[in-house]
Parts: sequence; C-alpha cells; structure tokens
Amino acid sequence: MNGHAVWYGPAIQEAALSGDVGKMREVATQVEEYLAEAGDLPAALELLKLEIAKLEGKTYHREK
Amino acid sequence: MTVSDRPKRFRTPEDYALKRPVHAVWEITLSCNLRCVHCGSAAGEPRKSELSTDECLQVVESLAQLGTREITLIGGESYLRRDWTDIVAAIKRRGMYCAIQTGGYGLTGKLLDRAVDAGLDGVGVSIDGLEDVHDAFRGVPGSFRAAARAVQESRARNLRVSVNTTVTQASLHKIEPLAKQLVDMGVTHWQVGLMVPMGRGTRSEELLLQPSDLLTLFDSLVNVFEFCAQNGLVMHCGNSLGYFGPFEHLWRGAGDDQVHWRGCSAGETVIALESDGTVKSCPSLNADDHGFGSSRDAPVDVLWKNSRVAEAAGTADEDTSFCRTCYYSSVCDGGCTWVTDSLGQKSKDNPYCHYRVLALASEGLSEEISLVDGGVEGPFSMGEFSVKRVPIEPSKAVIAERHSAKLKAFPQAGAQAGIDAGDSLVTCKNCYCYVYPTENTCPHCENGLDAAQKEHDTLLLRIDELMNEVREALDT
Ligand code: SF4
Repeated sequence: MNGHAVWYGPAIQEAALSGDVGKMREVATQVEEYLAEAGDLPAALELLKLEIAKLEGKTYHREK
Repeated sequence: MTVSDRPKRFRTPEDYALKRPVHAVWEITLSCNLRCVHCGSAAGEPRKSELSTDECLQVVESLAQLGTREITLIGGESYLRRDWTDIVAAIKRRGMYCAIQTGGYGLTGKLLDRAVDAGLDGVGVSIDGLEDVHDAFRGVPGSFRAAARAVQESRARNLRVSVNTTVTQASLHKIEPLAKQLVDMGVTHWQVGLMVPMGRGTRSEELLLQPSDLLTLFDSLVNVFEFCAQNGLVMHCGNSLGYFGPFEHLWRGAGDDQVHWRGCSAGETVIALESDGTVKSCPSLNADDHGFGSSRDAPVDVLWKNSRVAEAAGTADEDTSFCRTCYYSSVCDGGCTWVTDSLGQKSKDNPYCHYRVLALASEGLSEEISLVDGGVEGPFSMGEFSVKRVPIEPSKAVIAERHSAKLKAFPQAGAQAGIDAGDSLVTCKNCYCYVYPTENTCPHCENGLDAAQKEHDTLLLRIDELMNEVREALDT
C-alpha cells in the first residue's frame, strides 16, 4: 500500500483491498467468471481453488 | 497503487520526517442534534465562543500551508453551522480532500446538494448497531433511519461514503448482522472502534467492553472481515482497536500486511481543532493535556511548529508496566492515547490489547476495568478507573487458546534493541504475528522466518501458475 494510514475521523474512503486478501479476492472473482463462462472445466481450476483455500486458511487462521 | 491514486491520508516517509499534519480533524461546532451516550465531547450546545467564518477561513489557509492533505469536519454536527459549506469550499480551493463525519440526523438531500456544489468529497456516517441498538445509543428515536438515509442520499450524489461503528456491550454480539446490513446499504468502507469512556461516556460503564471481550470481538471480526472482503466492503479497525497478535495484519491495511499499528500519531501526522480555535494533537484528546494554544493567538502553522518541542519533551516515561516491557513497546507505545488517557493510564499502559489479553490468558488471567469516580461530565472529561487482574472466564480461555494455537511464547521487550521505532515490522508467515526485521526465528511460534516466507511465496507462485493454466485452457 506504500504508506500508512491514520485512523481518525471517518473511515478511510479511498482504500481498495490489497495484499494477500486483495489477491484472494481477485483470483476468486476470476474463478467465478470462468465458472460462469466455461462448460468444460480445466483440471487446473480445481487445484487453483484448493490453493486459494490454503491461502485463506493461513490468512484467517483456519488451518487444520 | 501509484502515488497519485493513493488515499490522501496515507503517510509517506517524508511526512514522518517532516512531521507533516497530513490529516486534520476539525470540530467546527459543538452544536449537535443527537445525544449519544458515548460522546467524548459531550456535544449538544455550541461552545461559548466559536470561530467566525473569517477565522475558519484563516485556519484553512494555515493548514494548507502546513501540507495537510485531508480535512474531516466534525462536531457536534458540522452542518449545523450555517457557513459550513463556505468552509468546505475553502478547503477544496486549496486542493485538500474534505469529508464530514456525521450522525446523519437532519442531513437532507438539499443540504447535501449545497455541500456537493461546494466540493465535498466524502461523508462518514456513524452507525453503531442495528436499529434498536443504534437508536438507544444515539439517544434519539429514528436516528438509525436518518443515518441510513444519509448513506443513501450521499451515495446518490456520488460522494464517497464510509461508516464508523463504536462497539459496546450492546453490539458486541451483533457485529455480523450489522456487516450484512451495511453491505445491503451499499457501504464500501467501514471503520470499527471501541467505546472509550470520555465525556458523556463516563456515565455508561455498563456499555464498556472488558479487555477479555476483545477475544469475542476479534473472533467475530475475523469472520466479518472475510465476509466484507467477499462483498466489496473494506473493513478497518480504528486506533482504539488492536494491537498486534495473530490478526493485526487484517485490521489496518485493507489486506496488506505491510501496514500495521505504528503507535499513536497524535501530534505527529494528525492535527485537531476545537470550534473555539483550540489546536490539539488528536480530536479525541483533552486539550488541557494535549493542546498547543488557540488559533486566535497565533496562526495554526506557528502553533503546530512550536508544539513539536513540547510533545518531544513529554514522552520519556519508563516503568515496568505490561506495555513498557512488551515485545512491541518500541513500535506500539501502548496503543491509542485516547484509551489510556481515558482510563487514567498516564504511563500508557493499555489493557485493551488483543496481544496482551492472549499473553495474560496463557497464565490463566484477564483484566477487569471498573469505574471508581465518573468526575464532572463535560467536553473530553475523564473519570477514574481501576484495572485489576482476575482469573479468566473458562469460555474466554477457550477462545484465547484458539487465537494463540500457533503461539509458543509471548516474548518481552529487548529483542528489538537497536531497532529504529520508525522501522516497519514484518509478518511471520507461519503464525502471522509481527516481528522485528532483524529476527531470524519468530519469537512467538519459534518457526524459521525465511522458511515460512519461502513456503508462502511458493504458494503465491503456484496460484499464479494455476491461474495462467486456467486462462490458457479456457482460451483454447
Ligand atoms: S501490550 Fe501494550 S505495547 Fe504491547 S502490543 Fe499491547 S498495547 Fe502495544
């Protein structure tokens, strides 16, 4: 994010998701788009969903 | 994110070096049409001698000269001043971002139209719970609907809209439905903070969270954060909520773990004003302890520059309290000064800290805060509180154990010797606790930092590769 925010007054109104969370959202959104588009799913998509779940688990502390 | 599209409020190394007041929070009137039980400034009636329009325009000029990039107008209710849009227009003429923070009661479309014409950029609306909780908290029936309408009317005018929520005992268990409601309302930015007992808030001890309630709150906020991220709502924690521990990486950087709590910015890169021209280091702090003088006696830029000496002289406070001996002490400095001042912790020892709650829980303890004397209620008045250690409740101990499942130790200050407090910390990619950049092994989970980082990078790389494979497979 190239900087640090100051949290007084209203919530920051211009920030967009970034970092690992931003990446997870970006990939998840694309996965959803592919799912909507594609009839025949590539095997890599299943693997991708698994790896994203791993990253989510780490980020939100849900690892087994 | 390029420099030009970065939020104005984000600070650069130069801002720190020059001690530039990047963000100004300015109470332009203490007049208010709500009677919120937590109100630190005990707002209602205007102050006896509020600044004239000309004096306000002079303040805008001084702030522009100091390099301020964002001004938030607060109250009371800023729009109860007849000339509030003249102030907005002056701020915009000097190229600064301008937002108001409001309860939204009586903020009509007509008023907003005038503000938009003046150049207002954003509206922050306070919503402290679902309708019943909010109306009781704000002291006026219908205030939730008014706030929701203010969100709607502001969005309709393409203003940037955010919501601030103060968490109390009344809303502690209802944060998830509130998040859902905010998503339904189309809110895009949300800041969550703690109720801090100041001003009128010294009269509502029963609404205050206890430090161990942070376990319940953070448990819920992790889910809420994920839900918000999935639904286009960027959630942040305010200054009063923290600090470090395994979830800090979620709370301040909109998902970017390079952004973490770096100590109180009051008087460093934030400046505040009261409606009679009193200049201080933070909008929430009491001017008797944190004031620099009045804009009626000297221009704000002169008061700010002179204040540097006073602030630097007042920070040498060594003791053996939990915060002073904490691993994070040199970066954190006991969290939010508003919280520690309000609790009478002049040496900045802060019981409202997730990391501290987890550390104490590992010894079977928690802390309990009780009001000893509410004092005389007034703007930014403070009561007297006691903090004592007691055995942790079993239900809370279970949550603490879950939150610290990966943590083996809660190290003390010392490991960071020689580190500049301005340095950024890094996350251990195993337990997600922050560590000083000179560490090789995480002092919390005892994992090798490099190995955990490599594993993390490999995972990110794998995701990129798979994404490319999927793209190629779909393109053919
Ligand atoms: S115990 Fe105090 S110094 Fe340590 S992280 Fe918590 S608030 Fe900061």
